[in-house]
Amino acid sequence: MDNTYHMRIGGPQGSGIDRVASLLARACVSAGGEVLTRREYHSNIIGRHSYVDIALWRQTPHSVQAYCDLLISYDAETLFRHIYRVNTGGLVIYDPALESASLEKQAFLDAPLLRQLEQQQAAGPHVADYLVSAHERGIQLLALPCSDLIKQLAKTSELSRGEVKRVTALLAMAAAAAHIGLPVDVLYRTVDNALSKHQQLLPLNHRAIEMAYQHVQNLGMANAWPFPTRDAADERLLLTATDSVALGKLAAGLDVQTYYPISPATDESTRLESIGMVKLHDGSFYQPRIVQMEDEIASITAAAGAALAGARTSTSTSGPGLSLMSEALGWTGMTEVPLVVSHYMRGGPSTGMPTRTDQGDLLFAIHAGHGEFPRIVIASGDVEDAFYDSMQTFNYAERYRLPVIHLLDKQLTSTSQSVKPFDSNRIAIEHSKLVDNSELADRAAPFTLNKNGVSPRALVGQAGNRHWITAVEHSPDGLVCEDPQNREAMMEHRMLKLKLILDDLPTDEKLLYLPADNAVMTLLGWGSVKGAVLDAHQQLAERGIAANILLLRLLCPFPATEVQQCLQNGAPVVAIENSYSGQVDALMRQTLGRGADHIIVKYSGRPFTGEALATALMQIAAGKGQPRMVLRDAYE
Amino acid sequence: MEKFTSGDYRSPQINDWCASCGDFGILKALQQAFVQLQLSPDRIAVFGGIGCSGKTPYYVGTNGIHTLHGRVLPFASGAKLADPELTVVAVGGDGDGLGIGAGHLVNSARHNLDLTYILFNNGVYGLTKGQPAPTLQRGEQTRSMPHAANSGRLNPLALALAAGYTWIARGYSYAVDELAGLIQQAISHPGLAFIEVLQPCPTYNDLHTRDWYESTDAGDGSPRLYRLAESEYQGCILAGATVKDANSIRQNCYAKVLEWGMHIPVGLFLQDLDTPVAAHGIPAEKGRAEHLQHAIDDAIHDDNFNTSEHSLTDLESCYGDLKIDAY
Repeated sequence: MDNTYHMRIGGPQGSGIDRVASLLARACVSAGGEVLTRREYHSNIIGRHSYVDIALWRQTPHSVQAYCDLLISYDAETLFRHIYRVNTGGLVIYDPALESASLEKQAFLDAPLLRQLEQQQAAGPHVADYLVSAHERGIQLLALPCSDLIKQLAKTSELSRGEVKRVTALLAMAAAAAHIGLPVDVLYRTVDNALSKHQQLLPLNHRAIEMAYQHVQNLGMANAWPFPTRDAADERLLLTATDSVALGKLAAGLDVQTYYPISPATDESTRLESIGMVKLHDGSFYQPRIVQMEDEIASITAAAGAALAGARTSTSTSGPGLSLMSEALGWTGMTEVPLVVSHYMRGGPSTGMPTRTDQGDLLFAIHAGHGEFPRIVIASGDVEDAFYDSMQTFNYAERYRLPVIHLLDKQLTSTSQSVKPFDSNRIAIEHSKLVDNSELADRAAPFTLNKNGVSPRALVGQAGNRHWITAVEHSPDGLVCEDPQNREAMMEHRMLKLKLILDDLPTDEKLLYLPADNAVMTLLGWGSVKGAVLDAHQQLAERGIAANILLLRLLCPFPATEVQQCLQNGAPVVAIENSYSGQVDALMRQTLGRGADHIIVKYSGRPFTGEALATALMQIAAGKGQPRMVLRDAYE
Repeated sequence: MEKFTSGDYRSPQINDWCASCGDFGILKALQQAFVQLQLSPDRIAVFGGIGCSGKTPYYVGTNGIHTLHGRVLPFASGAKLADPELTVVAVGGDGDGLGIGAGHLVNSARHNLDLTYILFNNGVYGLTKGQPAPTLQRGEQTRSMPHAANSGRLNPLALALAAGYTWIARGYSYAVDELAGLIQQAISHPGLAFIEVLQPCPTYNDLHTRDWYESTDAGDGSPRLYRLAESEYQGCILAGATVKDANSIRQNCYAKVLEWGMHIPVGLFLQDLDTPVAAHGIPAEKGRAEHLQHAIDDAIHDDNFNTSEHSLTDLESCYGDLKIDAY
């Protein structure tokens, strides 16, 4: 049975909550648990509210939930915002110094939520009132007097009061760890690893942890949950999709990556830069060139230039960046240059919500750039998929000589997932066929016409070969030619790739279909909705409602034949998407001539949770579903 | 006997520039420089922007890549990143480099990759029929403009100097031999070289004509264009120069690039041998990553486009702190 434990850690940005949440997640994995985390934050450096959810269980959880079993609060806003989201029987860890804080003094609390909280306010406007009403709802309270504990720590520490105060964030986290039964030794070791360059801080950190554990034990609240364990020898990675995409690129032999800083894509390039030299199996090293350019236009055009010269090349960006890259994307389509664009979607349009998730770039990714040219658009569903997809995108780009857009989103960038170390042998490394130097009379023809739309490439700088490349309409020789027959032949040849791709790719590279007996509906989604769909599906199953799952990986060219086959059983189709309009529905109507029967959308910038999705699906199963249903949650 | 002759750098493509266009002189000088340097045509890539000048890559017998308006420098930079031993030349017009592509013109200097950038300055957007380019003075009105230019002139050399180009020169398109010499030096310079070439647009710019450039309006018989090499001026910053000396040379250079009108200097303005060339990972002399070259060699000899092999990367070396040992 799924007994996943959900923890939420909230506080002001920059106060150390990311660090302690990361330590807690790492310690949980180290101790034998599997985790999935989610981070919500503002486009702000310090002060505004952010929180991290950690779902913990024996198997890696698919999605986090709206409700939590444990709330670790580092400020009053966290208590006001999330206390209604603590499950009955759950626990709130708080500093009693916050009890007198009042709702109207919360400078960063947004007006709509403030109004909502005022209306439903418990006995009064203070934290103390909210705690009383929470207690009445059956929620346990664990008061952690942080300033007292810091005072005690300061007495025995040689460090300054200011340095001692910096372990404040650790106290509440360690208290939570004690509550869930995380072995204290594991926490020590995790902190030791993180502080390996700051040995002088270790005694203080150890005492803070010890003190928090003791405090929880004294209250009789320790070891309240059966901590899950897996085989001790079993190694795990704990990483986000920016990490796994970066690793996938290195596994694929990335040579050049260009980028311009943009949330939430930058972490991927930063990861590549921090890895630096890459060791090969034969013991030699190589260093991919990770280059920060002056803007996204320079990023994609420099990437295209590198790809022309034969490098395995990618660039990484988010919404506004892809908008700027659109013209050059067409250039790579027209010149048939293999290029990978990792696109991390965020809330749009324009600046939109840079740190919130969204899938509203689907149709843009498929259509970005003027005119018509072939491209591949694929989407990854979770952190693990993102690694293998990232490897595979380079193969697609080289195999078909075209730009490949790899769709990811903010949710995947701020979700850490514990996974087994990757198996890079699962994906073969493929390179374009090149024109043969030995057969070169004088000049290479980079665009010779053939039956499948993919001609051998000529690399700029390839010895014995020289040629022209232009995104003006050209002849097979690469010479400018606007002759009607030439235009038709070249256009047809380029667009032939779309058919080749659909013929060529196996079904499991197009979609994931999980049929169920007596299914009353088909849940259709793509990208990061995967986790919530899997969770909701399980919750439906527990209530005796069977549903098929259809998760799309290949979005352009659209695998109409296979999707049609999956939908042949006639079960009503429910499309699920983090967007306003449910763009996959429009895509289906365009490519299949039929859309979804229901769309469930969420465009608050927050991801779907399994339980909220399951609730909406049960309404549909009960015949009470609307054609378009919007999931809302004021507290996220 | 020379291995490569001018024929090796010529192109069979039909040239559609206007008769007596200044571009011809630049093209000829470029080809002459290649002959002088004896560079193998397959190891040269000429990248062009958009506009008449952007067509230059079609008319050279090397690799020629026609890119996007304003983006020639990042395209060229990417190729250099991928193949550090490739000779890379970027060409573009004044509108291309100073208008739509100004951000790249400025920021490319920060990278200081070993490229040569030739900016064709004819004062107008020729291919779109004569609108003012950023190099035209406020108040000037060329043939097809409905009114005088409302916006002022950008000084390409001053901008290149401020941005930090490590080699800055100006040539004149009808002084082909001199220009070829400058291009040859620019290609040989280890870093990003910038050459502004003054060139008439016989069709749309009726102000800065060949007659204008080659006239003696100063009244004392001295020519409008004069050679820096024949003056007292010198603009070389040697490797290891003090900051004070380097700045002094840059200040002199700034005074020199402001000269315009009756007397216009041409030749080498600045040669900075002190600023390091971008390494970006593998040092240039090591060439491409070996695994890349290996893969290319394999692909060349394989008939099947699905040439496949396993990943060469040892992922364990990449995991770092992402990996968590079980306790």
